[in-house]
Amino acid sequence: MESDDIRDQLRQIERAEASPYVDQRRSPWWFAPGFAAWFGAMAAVQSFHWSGLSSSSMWTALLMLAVVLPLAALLGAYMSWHQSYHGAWPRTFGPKPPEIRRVYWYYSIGFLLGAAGLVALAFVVPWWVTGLATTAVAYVGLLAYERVYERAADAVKARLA
Amino acid sequence: MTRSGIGDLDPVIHAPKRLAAMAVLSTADQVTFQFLKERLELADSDLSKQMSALEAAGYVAVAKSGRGRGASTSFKLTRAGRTAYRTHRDALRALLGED
Repeated sequence: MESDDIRDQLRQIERAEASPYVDQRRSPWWFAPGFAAWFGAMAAVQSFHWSGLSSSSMWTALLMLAVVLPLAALLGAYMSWHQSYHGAWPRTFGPKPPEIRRVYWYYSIGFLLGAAGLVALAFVVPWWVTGLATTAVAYVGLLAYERVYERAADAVKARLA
Repeated sequence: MTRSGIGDLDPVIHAPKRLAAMAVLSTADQVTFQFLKERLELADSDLSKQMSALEAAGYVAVAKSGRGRGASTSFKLTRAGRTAYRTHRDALRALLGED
């Protein structure tokens, strides 16, 4: 086998490996607002629980049935839709293009900082304020993430073109 | 650790179309038939043939969901497939002196 053939093969392999990360269709308009509302609802439920208003087991059971279970079902439906819409579910762990790895790091750090701030907020404001604040933070964060991810994916495609 | 070489090249994976399919699958939990078809720019029959060879080798698991027009076929690497792909890739790198 010639070195140039092998080099070509490795380049094609690298392009193919990057594909699940960078050959994704643009997210639909409802992605950011939908997920922001989802995070907001989850945060509101948790905050309500911490507030002591749900100290009785009846309240906890009602919350679970009326809010948490439908939210969990929605997440399941989203994951199934995601697979058929994008066609590939990139692995969270394992090797990935460095440009994408950087975005994952930004997302993880942003998520942790945002969550820490919102948890702190939950102890000083009413539960519904926590819910609204989470929705707003998640909306802005997801829009920023989408933009940064798209730029990183373009950079990978340009590098491997 | 043993050094990889030409003997580690897997004849099942070595075919370019199958190698590309394995490479796509290596970084995804699951990939649909349609996604592979578009990325690899293959006809349905050709892709089916390549994926059947990988499935027969035990490198790929196939999952089918739905019926009729909404039906979809997905693939994912098996553990043996992941190991075989990694070995093959390392062997290619070793041949180039990149290991």
